[in-house]
Amino acid sequence: MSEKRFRSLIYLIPLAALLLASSLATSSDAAKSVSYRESIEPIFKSECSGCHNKASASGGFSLETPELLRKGGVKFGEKVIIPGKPAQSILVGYLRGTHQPRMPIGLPPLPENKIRLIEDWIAQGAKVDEVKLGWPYAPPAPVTPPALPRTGLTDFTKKWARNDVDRFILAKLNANGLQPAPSASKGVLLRRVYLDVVGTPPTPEEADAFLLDKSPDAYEKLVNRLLDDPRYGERWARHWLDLVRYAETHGFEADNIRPRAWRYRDYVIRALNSDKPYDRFLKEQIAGDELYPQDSDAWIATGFLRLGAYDELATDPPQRRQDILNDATDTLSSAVLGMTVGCARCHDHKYDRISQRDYYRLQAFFVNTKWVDQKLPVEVDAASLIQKRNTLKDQTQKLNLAIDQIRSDVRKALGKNDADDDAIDKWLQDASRKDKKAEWDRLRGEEGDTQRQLRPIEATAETVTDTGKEVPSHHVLLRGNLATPGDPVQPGFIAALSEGREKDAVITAFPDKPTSGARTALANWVASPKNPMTARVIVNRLWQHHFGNGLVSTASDFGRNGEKPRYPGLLDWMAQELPRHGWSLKAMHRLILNSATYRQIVAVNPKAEKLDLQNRLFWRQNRQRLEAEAIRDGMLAVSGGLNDQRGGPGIYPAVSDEVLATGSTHKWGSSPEDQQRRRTIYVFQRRSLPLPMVEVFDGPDMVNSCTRRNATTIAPQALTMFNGDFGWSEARRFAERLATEGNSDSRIEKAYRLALVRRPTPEEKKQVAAFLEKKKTLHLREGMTDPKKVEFTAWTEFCHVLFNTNEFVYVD
Amino acid sequence: MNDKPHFGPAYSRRDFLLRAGTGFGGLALTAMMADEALATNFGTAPTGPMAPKPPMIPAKAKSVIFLFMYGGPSQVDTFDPKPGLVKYDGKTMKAALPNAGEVKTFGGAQSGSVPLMKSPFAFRKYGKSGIEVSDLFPHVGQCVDDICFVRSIYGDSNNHAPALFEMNTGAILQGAPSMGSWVTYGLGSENQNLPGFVVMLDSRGGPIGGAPNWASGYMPATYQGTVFRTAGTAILDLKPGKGVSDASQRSDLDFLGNLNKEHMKSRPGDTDLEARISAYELAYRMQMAAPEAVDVSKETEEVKALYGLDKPETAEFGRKCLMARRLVERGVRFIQLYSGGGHGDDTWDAHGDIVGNHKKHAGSTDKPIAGLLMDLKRRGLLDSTLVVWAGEFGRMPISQGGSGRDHNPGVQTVWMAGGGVRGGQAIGSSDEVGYKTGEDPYHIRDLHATILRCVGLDDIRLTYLFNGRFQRLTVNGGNLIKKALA
Repeated sequence: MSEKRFRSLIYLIPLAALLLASSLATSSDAAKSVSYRESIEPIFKSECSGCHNKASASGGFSLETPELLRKGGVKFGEKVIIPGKPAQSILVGYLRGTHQPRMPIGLPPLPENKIRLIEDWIAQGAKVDEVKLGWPYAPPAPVTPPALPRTGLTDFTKKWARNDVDRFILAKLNANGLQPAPSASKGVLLRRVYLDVVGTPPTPEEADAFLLDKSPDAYEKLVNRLLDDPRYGERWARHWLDLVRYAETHGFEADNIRPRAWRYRDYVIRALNSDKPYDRFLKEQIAGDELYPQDSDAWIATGFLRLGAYDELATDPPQRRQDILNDATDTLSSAVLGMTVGCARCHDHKYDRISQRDYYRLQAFFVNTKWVDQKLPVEVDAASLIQKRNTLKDQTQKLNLAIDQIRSDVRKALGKNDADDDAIDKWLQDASRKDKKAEWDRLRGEEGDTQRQLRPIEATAETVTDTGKEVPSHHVLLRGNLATPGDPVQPGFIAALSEGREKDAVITAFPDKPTSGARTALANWVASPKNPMTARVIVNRLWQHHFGNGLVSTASDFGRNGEKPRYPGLLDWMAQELPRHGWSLKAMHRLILNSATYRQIVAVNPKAEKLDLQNRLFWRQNRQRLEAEAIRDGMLAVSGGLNDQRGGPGIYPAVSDEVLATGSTHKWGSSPEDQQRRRTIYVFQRRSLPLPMVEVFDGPDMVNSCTRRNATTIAPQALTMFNGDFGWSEARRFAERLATEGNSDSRIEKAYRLALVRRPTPEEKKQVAAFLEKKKTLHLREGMTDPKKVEFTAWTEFCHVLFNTNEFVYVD
Repeated sequence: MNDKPHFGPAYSRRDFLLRAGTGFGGLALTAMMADEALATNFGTAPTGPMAPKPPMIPAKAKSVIFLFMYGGPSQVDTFDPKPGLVKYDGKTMKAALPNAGEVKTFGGAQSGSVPLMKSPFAFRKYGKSGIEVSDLFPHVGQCVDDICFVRSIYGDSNNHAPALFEMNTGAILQGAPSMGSWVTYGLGSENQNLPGFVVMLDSRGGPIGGAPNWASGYMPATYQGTVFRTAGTAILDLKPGKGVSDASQRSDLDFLGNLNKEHMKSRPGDTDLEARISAYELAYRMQMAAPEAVDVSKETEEVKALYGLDKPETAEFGRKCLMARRLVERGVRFIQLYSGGGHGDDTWDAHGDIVGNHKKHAGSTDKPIAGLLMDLKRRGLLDSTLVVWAGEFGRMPISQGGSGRDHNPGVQTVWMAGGGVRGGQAIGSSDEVGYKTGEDPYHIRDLHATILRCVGLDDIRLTYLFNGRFQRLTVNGGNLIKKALA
C-alpha cells in the first residue's frame, strides 16, 4: 500500500464510522442522547402543533417553541414536562393514554418508538440543543472516495469497482453484508445506454459497431459517442423541461399560443449538447439579460422566468402578478435548490428552516421583472430556418409592393392621398372593379398568411428583463394574502443556505444597463460552488435518470420531509466533482455511466431484497419503464419512420376529433405527415391538451414542476398501444421495412434486432413463424383473398405485438 | 380562516412507497410490500391502487354522481326564491343593500346604476317540505323531499376557468387533482373492468380549461377521469384497429401474453411486468364491459321515458343520466356529467338572455335529473349514491344588458341528494337579493369536505404528499355542512 493510500485510509476511518452509523441497521441504543432539534421537535411539529400552536393553543397549551413547552398548559396550570422524570410528565401520560383524552385526539396513538424517544429525551433532562445547520443546509465537506474495504471482500468484489463512484457503493454494501451485482452483458448494456442517453434503440449497424468492437474500452468509447450525439440533448432536455413546467401556451380559459416558446426548448437542447457549464446554464436563465446581453441564448434562457401558466382573462391582475411571482419562486426553489418553499408563502415552514421572510426575500429578486419580446442580437437558427424566414420576408415585401401599388392606384382614382384601406376596400366593391377587388383580397390574404408563418420564426425570443434600474423591494404577505402586506423586505437569500444568517443581497447595478442587477446577485449566489444545494441537486437528478431513482429519492425536496441520502458522502463528493470539472454535466454522466454500479444487471438477490427491497443502496440496476416520449420515439425509430429534423416550432401529430372535443378552446394545428413523425420533444405543448399518448403514459401536466414521472400501469395505456391508430400505422411501416429482407427467417431476425436489440432464439423464431401461419390462416378464413395482403397483414400484426411487449417498454 | 393543520402526520413506509412513485408503478409498489401478500391477478382478487378500500368513517354513499351545470346557473332563477329581488326590481343595489359597495362583475365595472332584476320565473312550493323551486325545474320540484339545497355556497373567482378548477379541484390554479381523483384515491373502485372515475361531456364541447378539470394533477394517472362518450365507442381507442376482428385480436393478445410470460421467466418477482400483462387483459375485458355498461338499448321504454330519452330536447342529458345509473350499478365510484359545453349560450352562461338560455338548459336537464333521482330511489340505490348538482358559480341579481346576468362567485345554490344527506331541507341563505351569502355561508371547500364525508372520507386525513407538503382537496380543511348530513 502506498503511503498516500494509507493516509487516506486513516482519514477515512471517521467517515466509515459515519457511513455505518447512517446505514440501514437501526438498532436502538438506550444510552444514545436524544437531540431535541433532531428528534423531538419534528415529532411535535408533525404530530402536535396542528392544534397546540401559538395561534390556537388548544387547551391553553402550545409546544411551538421550547419556552412555551416548558411553560406548560394554561388551562390546568400544570407543567407538562418534568425534566428527568418521564413517568411523572403528563405529556407522556396524554400520549400513553393514562391521561384522558389520549393525544393526538381523534387520531391513532403515536408509534411506540416515537413515545419512547420523547421519554428518553425527558429522562435525559429535556435539554434543548442549539439550532444546528445540519444536512442539507451545510455546504458539502471535503470527501475522499473510500478505499476498498479491508475485510469481507470476495474475489469478485475485489475486482468489481471501476471508478470512485463504485468505491462509495462497495464500502456501504460491504458494511451491510451485501455484494454488488455483476456487469450486464454487452447486449444488455447496449440497449440500456442507448435508451438512457439518446432515447431511441440502436440500429443493427450501431449495435454491431459496439458488439464487434473487442477493444477493452469499447463501452467507454460508446458512452463518449452517445454523449456527443445530438440526440442526447433531445433526450435529456425533456428531463429539464419537466422541471421547469415547459409549455407553449398560457393555460387557463383561452390557452393562447406563445408563438416563440419553442426557442427555450431548443436552447436547452443546444445547451446540453454543447455541454454548457451548469453554472452558466443557470446564470443565463436567471439573469442572462444582465450578464450576457450580447448572447442570444442568454436572452432566450430568461424565458425560464415566464414559463408558468398565465391567466389571460384574469379579472384581478395584481393577484395574477402575485401568482406568477409565487410560481417563479416555487419553481426556482424546487427545480434548482431542491427545496419546497411554497409552505413559507403563508407561514414559516413547519419542517424546514425556511421562514416566511425568507420566502418573500427570495421572491423580491423578481418583483421588478417584466416580460419583453426581445430581438435576438445574434442569429442562432439553423440555416434551413433562416432560409425559410428570408423567403417569407421576401414574399412579404413583394406582396406589400403589390398591395401598395393598388393602394396608390385607388387613391389616385379617388383623388384622396390619405384614403385608408377601408375606403379602398369600399371603392373596390363596385361590380365593375371585380377583378381588381379579387386581386386586392388575394394579396392581402396571402400577406396575412405569410405574416402568420413568419411570426413564430422571427429572430425574437420571449424573455424577461427589469422594469428599470430601481432595486426591487417587497413585502411579506401575511397568510400569503396580497391584501395584507406585512414587513417590507429586500432581496436576500434563504438564511439556512447562507450560514444561517439572514443577509440582504449585495446588489450592484450595471452602469450601462437599464436593469437593477438584482437577478445577477441571485444568479451568482445560486450558481456558486458555495451554494449548499445547487450542485447536490443536479448531480442527484442525473443519478435519478440513470438509475430510475436518486441518491435522494425526493429529488426536489432535500428538506426534512424528503428522504435522507443513503450515500451522503457520494452525493457530496459528486457535488464537488461537478465544479471541479468546470460544471460539465457530461463529465458527471461519464462518471456514472462508466461506473460498475451503473453497469450492474437487474439482479435478483433475496438477501439484499430482505434488507433493502427498494434498492436504495444500489446493489443492482433498476428495471425502468420507458417514458411516453421514449416509447413513441422508439416506435418511430424502429419502424424507420422517424424524421430526425431538429429544432423549430412545435409540430402537431394527428389527434382524433373526439379528443379535440373535450375542451372548449382547443386549437390544434396540422402538420404535414412527415413532420408528424418527428421526435416527441418537438410536439407542440398545449396546456389544455397534452398529446393523448403522452398523457396516458404519465406525461407531465405542464403546470407543476415535475420531478419524476410516475410509471403507472393502467388499462387505457393498453388501449392506446393495442388499438390506437399510431401503433397500427407504425406497425405497418415496420412490416414494410422488413419486407425488403430476404426470407422469413431473416425478417424475424431483423425485427428482433430493430425492436428488442437482440437476436431471437431458435425457439422464438419457431413461435413467430407459427404465429404468422396462424394469422394467415385466420385471415383467409375470415375472407381476405389477396395473398399479398394476407402476408402483409400477418407481418404487421407481428410487428404490432412486438411494440406491445414488456421487453419493448422496459429497460433492463 | 380556520386553523386546521394542513401538515399531516409523518407518513408510514407504506404511504411513502405509494406516494414517492420511486420510478416503479404505484401498483407494483403496493404488491412489493413485504407485509402485504397481495395477489396480482386483477379479475379475481382486485389489488393495486384501484382496489376497493374501506372508508375512513362509516358512510352510506358508495358512489357519487356530480351533475355539473357548466357556465353557472342563476340561483335566483332556479332554487333560491328572492322576494327581496321582486321588491327592489329596477332599483339599484345600493337601494337594496346600502353596504354592498361597488358591484364588480366579470363584464367590467358596473356603475351603481345598473338595476336589480327580479326573476322572470315564478316559484312554487313542492312536496311535504314545501321548498320553493322555480318553474324552470318542475320535475326536480317533485323530488325536493329527497334534496338538500344549500343556498349559501361561495367561491373565489368570477372567471370560468379558475372557478371550474376550484369547483372540481379545490384550487383556482390549474394542476391540482380533481375531486373524482381524490375519491378514487381514497376508496378505489368496486369494478376493476371499468374506470373508477368517469366523465361525460356535453356534445357541444368540453368545459373551459379542458382535461385539467378531471385530471389527477400531481397524483398518478391511475386516478384521472376517463372521458366516456355518449355516442359511438365509449372510451378513446376502445375498439380494435380498423378491420381487426375479435378472433384476430384475441390471437394477437395470446401471442403477446406468451412473449411476455417468456420474458418474465428470467425476471422473476417483478410485479410491474405482471401488472402490465394484467392491464392488457383488463383492457380486453373493458372493450366488452364499457359498451355493455353504457348500452341503454336494453332498458325498458318506461325507464327511457322516465329519463326523457323519448324527447329530443332531453334525450342527450337523459342518456347520460341513465348511463350514470348503469355505471353506479356496476360499481363505478365517481361519475361527472356536464350540462353545457363550449362557449356562450351553449352553456349556462346567460349574459344576454336569462330566459332563453336557462329555459333551454333547464328544459334539457330537468326531466332527466328527476328521472335519475326517482329511478335510483325505486331501485334502492339512492341511499348508496350521492347526487350533487352545482355550477362553477352563481349569477348576479342585477341585470346585464337588461335581460341577462353576469357571473357571481359570491353565492350560488348547490344541492345534494341521496347517500348520507338529509333531504327536504334548504340550508343557508343568500342576502336579501341573492348577491352574496347570508346565513350560514359555506365555501366550496366546505362542500368538498361534506361530499368526502358522505362517502366516508375525512378531508383532513385524506392527504397526498407532493412538493414537501401533505396536500388536500380542501387545502387546510373544510367545515362540514353538518345540517346537510343525515
